Amino acid sequence: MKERKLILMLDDDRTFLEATKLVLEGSGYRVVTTVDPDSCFEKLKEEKPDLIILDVMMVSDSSGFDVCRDLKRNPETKDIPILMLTAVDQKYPTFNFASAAGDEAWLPVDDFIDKPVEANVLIEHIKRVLHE
Amino acid sequence: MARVLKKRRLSSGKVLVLDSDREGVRRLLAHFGRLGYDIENITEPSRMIERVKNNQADALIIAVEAQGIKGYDLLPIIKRINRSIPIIVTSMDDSLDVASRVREHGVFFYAIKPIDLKEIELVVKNALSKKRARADAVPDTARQVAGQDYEEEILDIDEASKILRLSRATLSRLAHKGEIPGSRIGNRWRFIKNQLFEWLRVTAAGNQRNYGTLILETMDEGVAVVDKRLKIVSCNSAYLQSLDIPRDRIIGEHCYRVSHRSEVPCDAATCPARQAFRTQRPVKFMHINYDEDGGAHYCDVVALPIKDDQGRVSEVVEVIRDNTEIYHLNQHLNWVVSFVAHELKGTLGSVVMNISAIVDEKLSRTLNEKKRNEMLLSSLGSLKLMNDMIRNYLISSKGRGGQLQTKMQQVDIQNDVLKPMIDELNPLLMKKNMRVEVKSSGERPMDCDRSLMRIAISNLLNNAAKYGTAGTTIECGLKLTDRGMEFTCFNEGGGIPADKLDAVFSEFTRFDTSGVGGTGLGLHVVKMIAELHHGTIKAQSGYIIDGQPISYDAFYANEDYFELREKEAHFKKFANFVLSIPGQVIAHSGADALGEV
Repeated sequence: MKERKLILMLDDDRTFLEATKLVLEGSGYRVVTTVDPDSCFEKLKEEKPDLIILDVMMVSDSSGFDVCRDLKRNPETKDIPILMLTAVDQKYPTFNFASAAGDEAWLPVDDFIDKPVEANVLIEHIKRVLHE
Repeated sequence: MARVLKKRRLSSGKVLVLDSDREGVRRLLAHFGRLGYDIENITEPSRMIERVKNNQADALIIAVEAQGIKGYDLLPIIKRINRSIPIIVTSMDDSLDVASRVREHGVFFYAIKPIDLKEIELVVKNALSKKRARADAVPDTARQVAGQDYEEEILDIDEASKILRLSRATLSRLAHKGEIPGSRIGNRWRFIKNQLFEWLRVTAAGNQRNYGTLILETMDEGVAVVDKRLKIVSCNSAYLQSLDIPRDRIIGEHCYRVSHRSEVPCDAATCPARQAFRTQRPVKFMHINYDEDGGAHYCDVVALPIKDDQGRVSEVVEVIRDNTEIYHLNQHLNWVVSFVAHELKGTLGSVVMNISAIVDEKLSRTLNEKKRNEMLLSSLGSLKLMNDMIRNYLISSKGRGGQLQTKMQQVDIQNDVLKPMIDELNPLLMKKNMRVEVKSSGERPMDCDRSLMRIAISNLLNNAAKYGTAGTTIECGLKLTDRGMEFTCFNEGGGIPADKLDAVFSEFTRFDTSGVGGTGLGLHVVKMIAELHHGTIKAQSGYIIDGQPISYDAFYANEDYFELREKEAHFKKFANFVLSIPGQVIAHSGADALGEV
């Protein structure tokens, strides 16, 4: 039997995490969630996920940016694809996050989705990033 | 021998003293006399003016409490005669008013009595050495020319009345009213010749007063006139006030030095004055000016060209409107709007995720009925959270604008407020497997605004449910007595940091990062509602030890808990809010505050 892929989700909105976890589990993924950026790295030591879904504004307005840069700098995690899922563009209305996604220095993520997102759209993006 | 040399060296400057305090003058003369200074007491202000006019003084010590005049009234006259003479002002009055009157004329030193002779000695020594240095630098011919100018400048009333062709009485009356520039020294009027000619020119030219200057003075905005070298040639009082600099430090100074504290002019493309000179048209720019403390002022600068007879721009009038307050308000408003929008969008995220999964044909097949119900319940909770956010934001805005009013009525708090608010909380309580327990005493109706009281109780319950530990009980207490109402709301959970117990009621304040969301307005709104009812709201927090809540204060003050301090990180915490509303409240007039919420 094919092993289910693991997704690590980091978001400061617990309700959103619960809702998304239900949807992704229904679509055949294993999901681990956390609201704390520090515990994200602890969880990574336990098991290497196939994908990380990351919010931007958690402890600070930019903690998600710091997390994704740290992940891409770390040799052990740099190959894990990152999907940024956030409502951050509300705070920076003039900046185009979607086009900046992939910039190694600034926004080293594999995909960017603005909240709110419909369940099927999120799954399409996940499949694309995971080459499924 | 050495002593003689010292005496000879120090006596190279003449110091004049004007003070009504005889004992003080005697001490000064004795002290400086011993040191070999050429120092002299002057009893009449007019004599001092004469001596300065005749170049017979190198430094002056003037007391605010001089004979027949306030010392600071003498300063502009002396400065007119000899701008560079060092003036040391002394005063028995240490008020800010006197200090600012003295300093606005640019004195060398200002000392509060009683005088420290050593200090004054040092000041006089410095003053004379500066005076000597300046004198050495000015050629004799230049000094002679300057001397002639000065001699012609100060006029008595007879000389002035001849020039103006006015009687002494008329001149005296106009000067007294301030319509003709003059200064009363002792019992005599003194006039500056150049000022009289200027007055004559302006008045005679249009047979009217200088309305231009008067109009500038009526304006709230700072106005300065800048010449082609970008030097300020005139300005109004609002301009001086906005920069908090005396007039004598502004006139003749480059505008960029004054307004930007910069040593170099602004870039030509963004300098309103340079643009107005170049284009010969009015221009407007947003500029950041800096005050003496380095504080930024966000200003609109409008530059209006003044043209001469040939149509060339000779000067530019700069009108400076300080919009700093509006700028900061706008910044705050933008922050609030983006903050609230972000929170709403985030909360909407879980609703869209849930509902889109349920209605998606393919995805819905992966969800059993229990999961679907969970998702619907979660969405309902999120929508209610959004509704509360919007409601709290609107009430907070109304409160800030002074528009929040109460409609007082007799309210059954138990059945008409508490019970329906607990019922409303059910989706969140079910989701977290929590319950609410109420202990009440007294059944007296309460004078309050029902709608606002519902919001206050709802916010407290919501707060307890959001931050409370799943599976625990929220304990509420309701006491209704003749003295009023006390409502308490207790929950086990993350607690409130000990140093944040007051700050938790501030606008947009959130301490918890466990992912429950919210705009940080709920408790702020409770405080506003409590205060509108002349009541109070207090936050308490601490540890739960052996099932008993122990406040932080009690935990650290009680020796019995000393050994437990090492384990404090492992204790459960609690938060408790106490809302007290007095029974006798003053009714406010006005419509139901929630009519539009």
